[in-house]
Amino acid sequence: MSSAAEISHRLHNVFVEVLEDPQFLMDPATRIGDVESWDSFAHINLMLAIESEFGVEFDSDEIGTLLSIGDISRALHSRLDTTGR
Amino acid sequence: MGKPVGGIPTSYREALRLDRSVRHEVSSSTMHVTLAGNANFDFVSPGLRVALASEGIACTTRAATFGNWVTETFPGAAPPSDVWVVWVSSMGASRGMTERPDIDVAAIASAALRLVNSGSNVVLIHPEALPVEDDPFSPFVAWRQGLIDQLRLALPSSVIQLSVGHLLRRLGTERWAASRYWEQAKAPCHPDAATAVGVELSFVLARLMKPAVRAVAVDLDDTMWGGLVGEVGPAGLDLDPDGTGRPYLALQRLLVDLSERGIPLGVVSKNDEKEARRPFVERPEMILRLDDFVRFDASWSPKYEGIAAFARQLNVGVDSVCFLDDSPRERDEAKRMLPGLIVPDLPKSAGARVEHLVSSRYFLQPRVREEDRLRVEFFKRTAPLPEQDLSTYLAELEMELVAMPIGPSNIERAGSLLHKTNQFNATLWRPSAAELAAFVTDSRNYAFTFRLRDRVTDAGIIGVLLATVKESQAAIEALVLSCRVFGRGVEIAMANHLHSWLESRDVGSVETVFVEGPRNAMVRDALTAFGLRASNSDEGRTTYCGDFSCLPSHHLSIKEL
Repeated sequence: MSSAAEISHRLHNVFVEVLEDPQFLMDPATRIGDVESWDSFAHINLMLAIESEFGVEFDSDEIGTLLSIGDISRALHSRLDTTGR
Repeated sequence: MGKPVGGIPTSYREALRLDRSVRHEVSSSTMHVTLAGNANFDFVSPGLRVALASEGIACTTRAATFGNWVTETFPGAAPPSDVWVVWVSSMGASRGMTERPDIDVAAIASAALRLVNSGSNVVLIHPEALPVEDDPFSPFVAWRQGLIDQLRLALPSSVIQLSVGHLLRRLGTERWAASRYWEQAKAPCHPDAATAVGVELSFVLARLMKPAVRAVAVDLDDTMWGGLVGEVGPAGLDLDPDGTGRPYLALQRLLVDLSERGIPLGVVSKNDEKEARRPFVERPEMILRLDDFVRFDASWSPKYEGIAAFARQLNVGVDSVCFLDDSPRERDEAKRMLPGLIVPDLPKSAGARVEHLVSSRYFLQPRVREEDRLRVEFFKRTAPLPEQDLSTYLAELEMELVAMPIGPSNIERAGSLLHKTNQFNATLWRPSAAELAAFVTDSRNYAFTFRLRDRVTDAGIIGVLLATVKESQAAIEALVLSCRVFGRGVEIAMANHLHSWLESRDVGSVETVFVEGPRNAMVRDALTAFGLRASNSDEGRTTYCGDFSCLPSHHLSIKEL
């Protein structure tokens, strides 16, 4: 099973890749719209990339609520703990 | 500009990564594509761009305004595009499977016609199967099929109609459908599936611009039939359609379909010629017949010699010829001796070969023109001539050259010739669809296509001549001639037509800038034969000027429509 630290590291890499910002900081309070490159289209791309990276799937209701780094991180860790990955 | 690299992505994420690494620099040869329809197709674009880049084609994409694409088809309402891809999505039409409305197919057809008339190519993607259709008795099945039937009837024939059903079958409903992406972004399918659509479109658009394969050379033993005809005779060959002969006949069916769509076939076999011909006559199961081939080369010479001769006969490069042979050794030798030859690695199992060839996408033909069909007939009927009879032969052919001003009925063919012709092409001008449309609608310009007919056959439209006129000076902007009519004086007759047109306008002087390319050196001889003299020459560009007062004679009658 991946450690929490490894999951966070991989999640960071996804944000860096999708938002094309090598200096991106993972502040849990950062929300969609706070960063210029994180618009609604980029948000879809983020969700896609996270699903692809971790082999999870978020349903439509969830995607609409995961609007900050903190939200996304908690949902992901919770999902991965549930699946035992 | 360096050639774009790209790749074939298998996921949306991979498409995004590749898209960032491709050099999308815009030049005069860049393809401009507009994506439009009744859903959000943003997820299609990256896969389309990078897959086209892997074919060496730079591409820009733009999305028509969501839900408003029809209004953008009116003149001036949107930037010109070489291609419009319109997806009439079932998810869009049904508002996410919540209704089954009547769709204004007439408006879609009118919009498509406006685009075609403006010089754009149009690809329309049919409504895709919906997840609810996993119930085969769902009313959505009949509704969607009815919509497809209406579109087929209403759309102009020049619109390329494309189904994505094969992609859906390949991916399966679970990987195609993702309603959460419809709810979040109005995307009709999972972005990975949209990437597959983009990749498929790249093949369609690349083949639309330039077919990968223009001729097929095919082996006989263990390729066209099971067994060696020289060993077992025609009766011993494996050709039972209900047994192990089926794969060979399926390949023959594929080849005959290609021939009927304008791709000439040639046999290249190491065999005794008489024995090699017998199965075509003596085995009724054979789908291909001797007259399906424009060349039958059965001898003990190396096969690459026969393939090279086949290419010369058709006046095409070997890089446009596909060679099919079951033998890895023969394939390897042909590849080594004829660099650029297209040689699919046919699977050892005959039963897997047709699927392998289809998946290669070499033979994808988005559009089949009458010109292409006539081309095959032309090569079947035209035999090589002894040189001393050439003049007599040409006179006896009763050739007629039909000049037609370029308009909606022939602009597409004109554009195709300008882009595809590499040998007889004086200026190498490759105008975009919009540029060509603008040129031909300017009444001051000379813009004609030329169709060649003789008492044997009709070669279709084989030449384009474009010229501008300023005061009393004409400038030839483009002069192209199809390689299949070389040696008949057609270019002289075309120059004669331009000469008459100019004389009626009191224009005496003609000039053109010959642009040197890798394969068009022959045009220099033609320009000199016209009576034009080379003057300035700089970095592969040579100005020829003079008048047409001393054009040589030719054997064609010229008619203007």
